[in-house]
Amino acid sequence: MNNPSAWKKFFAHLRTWLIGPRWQTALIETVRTLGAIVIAYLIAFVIIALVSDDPQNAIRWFVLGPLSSSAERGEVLKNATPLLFAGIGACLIIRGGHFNMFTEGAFYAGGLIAALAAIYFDLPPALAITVPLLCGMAGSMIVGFLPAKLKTAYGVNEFVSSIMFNFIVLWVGVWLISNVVIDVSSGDNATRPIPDPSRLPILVRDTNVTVGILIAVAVALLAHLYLNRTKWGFAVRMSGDNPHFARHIGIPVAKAGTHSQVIGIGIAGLGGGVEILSNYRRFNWKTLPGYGFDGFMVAIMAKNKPLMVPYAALFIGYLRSGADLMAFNSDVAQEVVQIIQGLILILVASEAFFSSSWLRNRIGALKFRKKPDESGSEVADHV
Amino acid sequence: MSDLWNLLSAPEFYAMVLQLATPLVFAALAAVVSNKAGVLNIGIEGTMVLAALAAALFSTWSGSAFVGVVCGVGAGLLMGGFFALCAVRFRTNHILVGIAINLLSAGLAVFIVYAITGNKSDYPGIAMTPWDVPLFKEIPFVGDVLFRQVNPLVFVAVLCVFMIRFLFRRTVLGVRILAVGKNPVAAASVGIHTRRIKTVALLIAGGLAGLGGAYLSLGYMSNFNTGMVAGRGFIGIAAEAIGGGHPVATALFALVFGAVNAFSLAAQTFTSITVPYELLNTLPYLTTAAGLVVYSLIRYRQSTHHSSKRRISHEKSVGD
Repeated sequence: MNNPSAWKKFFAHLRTWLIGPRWQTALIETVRTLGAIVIAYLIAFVIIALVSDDPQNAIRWFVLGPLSSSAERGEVLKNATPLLFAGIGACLIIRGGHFNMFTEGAFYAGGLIAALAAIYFDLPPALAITVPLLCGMAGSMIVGFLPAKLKTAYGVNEFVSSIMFNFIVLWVGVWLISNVVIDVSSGDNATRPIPDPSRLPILVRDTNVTVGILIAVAVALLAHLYLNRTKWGFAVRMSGDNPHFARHIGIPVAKAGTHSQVIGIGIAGLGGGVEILSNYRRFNWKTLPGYGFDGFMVAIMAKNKPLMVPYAALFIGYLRSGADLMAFNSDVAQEVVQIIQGLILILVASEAFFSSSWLRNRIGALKFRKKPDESGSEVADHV
Repeated sequence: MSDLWNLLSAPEFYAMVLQLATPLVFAALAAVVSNKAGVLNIGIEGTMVLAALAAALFSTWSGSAFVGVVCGVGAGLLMGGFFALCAVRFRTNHILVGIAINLLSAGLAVFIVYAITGNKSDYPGIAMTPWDVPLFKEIPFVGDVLFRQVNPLVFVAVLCVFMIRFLFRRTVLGVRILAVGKNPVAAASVGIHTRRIKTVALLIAGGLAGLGGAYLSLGYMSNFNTGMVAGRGFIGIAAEAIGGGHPVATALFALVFGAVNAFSLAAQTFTSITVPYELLNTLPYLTTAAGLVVYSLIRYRQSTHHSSKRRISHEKSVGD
């Protein structure tokens, strides 16, 4: 084995085995995502250092705070739960090739309808949780059907129409809670208190973690099975990847698009219900919760794979709890999270940042799958 | 009914329509320019937020509203450049860049306001002094609407509409933007630098959105508020879609949405019928959605009449 060429051969084999085509992609994607996170964190640290009088303290709370005690770790899970629902919903919508932002309005509608169902339906304890959640889900699906169907049937720009629907849902909801279902004794524009049997039970003692997180993980599994193991999931993926080809092989593209959007919206609506029934005494949202956009961010981070969404949601949940703690214990606002999220989203989604061809050109071992180089051509830049 | 008549006969109402339509016109023009270059620019909303903040900040620091507007435009250009960097250089999906920019600017605006003032919503600005146009303001009704106490940026908005029209009709740059938007490969084959043209278009769009943002914090109001853009960027995009990318038609639709917005505000003072203001607030969004649907239906029916490739043409989605 002293022969240098034998060593070379051995290492070549080892590398081929370690970094085979399948692992290569996974490895590159992981490195890319981690790289994006590191860069976003560094920029955030710079910003924090610029505005804070005691940046060391702020950054310590931001990074280590969420892991410091079991209550804080519970807070991470609590923050991750709605993001998980929004992320899975966004996954299904993006995989079908659409950018329907109604997940945002669905969160609001789902939460409101679930709260109303829990308050006004006189439910037996056995149904006190499931019926409100299903009502919230169904209600948001009915509203969300409109922008989805309008897009697939008549080509109405679903992004803009769904954002308009978000605002409409918000103001109708605000009207409801300040005029129709208002409980004056609360001293606020809010509904009556949600009855105790309808509130989701706490899962871990001394934390705010409810069974909502279990529902979320179950939904992630179901969404994975739906996308990858059913006929309809196949139709959704095909029509998202290449609608012309999908139509050519006989897939009902419009139908698949509609129902992937409606199911995604339903999942977000379920998330709204879970959020309200686990963390709120009354329904009192007067602005949109913002989970719709966060959901898209989570989905992109998870590469639109439902099984990866929990990890991405957990990370964003960790980021959120850290920022909350930092805002509480120092002079930095927690909105730094949105800056980090935006940066990660851009870096993860960009095709040129750390792209496989970029890496392949630099790491010899990866060259065996090298494609013809496109980076030099001028016309390759239209996405 | 008398309420409605009083409202529609008052010049103040029409002046208000102009005021509320101006930011929409700027946003819609920004959408026109970027859409002509083949980019669906969702970041207009976020760009407007940051521009409004920059305008308020620098107007207070310098003591001059004009400096504020210039800085607002500067912030818009900066965001346009950032969009171009991500979308053109890093080849990120346009919609995702837009979402990221909206996330980022919403966060950044609150963050900056909090870091400076310690509160999270408002920052004072110096309002621009409205103009009175001599002579013209004496015209009975029209003078009251158009030429008395009008913000200079309203005139700038009208000017911009025709400048954008001129850009696409009469200038080399405009034609190149059109070519790049229609078919980048063909454009590149005749020697047009597609990336550069796209970047320029996005910068122009950013500057226009910046004007819209500056108008919001220095013209329409005299302070910056974190919720003040309230979907106006998206309404602008919808106006562009309904106007079919023609600058003048787009601006007219923006004016319609401004009118609905003004009506929804004015109707809160009606005495004969009281509609809750929450429901009136839905009106601008409802009209926008309805307008979008009607426009798409008409275009869909046209495409089914005239072409056998209907499924493909209507499938052509936003932003590719």
